Amino acid sequence: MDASFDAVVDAARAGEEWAITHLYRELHPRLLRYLRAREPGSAEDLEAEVWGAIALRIHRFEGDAVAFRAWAFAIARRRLADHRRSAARRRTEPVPPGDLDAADGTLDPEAIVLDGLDGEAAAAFVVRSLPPDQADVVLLRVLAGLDVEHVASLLGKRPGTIRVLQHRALKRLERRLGEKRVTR
Amino acid sequence: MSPSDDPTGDMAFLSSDDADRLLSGISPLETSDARGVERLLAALRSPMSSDEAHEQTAVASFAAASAAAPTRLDDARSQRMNTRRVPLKLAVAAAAVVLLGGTAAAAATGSLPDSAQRAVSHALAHVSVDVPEPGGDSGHAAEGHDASPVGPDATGPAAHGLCTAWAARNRTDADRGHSGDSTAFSNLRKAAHDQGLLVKEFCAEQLDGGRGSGADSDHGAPTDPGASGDHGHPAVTPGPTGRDPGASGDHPGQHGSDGDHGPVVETPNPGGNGTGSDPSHGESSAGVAQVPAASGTGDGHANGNAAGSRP
Repeated sequence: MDASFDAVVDAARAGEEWAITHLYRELHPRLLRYLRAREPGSAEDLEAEVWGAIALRIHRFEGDAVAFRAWAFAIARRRLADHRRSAARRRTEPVPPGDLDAADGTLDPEAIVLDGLDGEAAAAFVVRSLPPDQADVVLLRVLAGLDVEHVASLLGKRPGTIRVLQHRALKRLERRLGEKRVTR
Repeated sequence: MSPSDDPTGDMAFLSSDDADRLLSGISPLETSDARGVERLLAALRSPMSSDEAHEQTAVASFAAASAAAPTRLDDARSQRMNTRRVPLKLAVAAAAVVLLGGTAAAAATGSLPDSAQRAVSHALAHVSVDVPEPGGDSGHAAEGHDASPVGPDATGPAAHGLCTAWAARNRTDADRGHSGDSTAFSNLRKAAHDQGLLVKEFCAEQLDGGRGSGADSDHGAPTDPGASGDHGHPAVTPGPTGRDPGASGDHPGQHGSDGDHGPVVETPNPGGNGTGSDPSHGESSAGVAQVPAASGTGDGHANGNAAGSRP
């Protein structure tokens, strides 16, 4: 698995399309869903930037598939932060993060639980229902497919902290969903 | 948030281990009390419909950049020792990935291999391509300093390319609520308004008649090569020099790029080699950015960027 991933990365470095396509298919849905949850209006642009950064630096990347995802999401998070900083400076961004909570009412948890298996709605629900650090942990664990240690490293926190955050996050999500849930 | 959020409340049903299992995609031992979350997470993992056109563009752009780079692995290794060697064309190609116009630039300078160039231009011809502004936020490049974000000049030869992108984006992104809000599109809007036209009308003229201005569409059109070259080429400098400010500097350098150490390192910035030392995340994006000064556009905004525009 690792050996083949190395081969993919090598081929991608050389510009071989099959390999790049492989990486793209592996990452793109995750990245885009993550970025849309975080910054719906600019997700596509941000994702393009992430790929640009990856293309530039992939020749210096070493690691397995998980490390690659972690790397890509680290870049995505930084781009997101840059984007928000510059948006705040320009004050043109319509939806400051804080307002997302206010929009919570537009999303019916019941829809998610009962029939909505829509990934984007689910990601948006996570972001709107949780404090930012908890949402980050959940999205990175699930969308980026990273374990506690990777997430801890990426967020600059200790693994124990991540475990606490993720536990709280799921309880909170369950409670929010449970408010509307039809118990079975 | 809501009072019901107390994490230590009565939600004892979901143990920490179960939470971890759920997040790892493993069914917890007892899920009956966390069924909502289980479904939510399943939804999060659900596959996304693919957009082949978009994929083609992305792959072609990536290929253009990486094929133009001296990216053989062994090469890459020696490059760590001699990071200054990154050639201009790599930077130009990198810009191509980020900037629509950059593709034109790379093509114009002949730095793309034929196949990549063909692929890119082909893809650009009919697909929604992101047109982040070269100077605006997505390029991170000149961000902040120049009062006016650069972006392709929609009144010039870029009009055709912009309109193509605009039309494609409208087609493919209509359902996503994606608005064409980049600087490039602002320029387009302005150019249209200056002529008293709606973008649609402006573009109809551009696209159907050819009007000469944007005639050579795919290549020449979108941005002036000089501009993206400016941003592009110094772009590389910060990366390599800093040993990889960019890659792992992006974030607490967990992996790799910086080294031979494996996938992940627990501590955010293990090495003292300056990797993560820059507190601002801006740094690596600045990678794309800091450059203008170096390239001779000159007037020192690079510094302005680093010092001034980052709060």
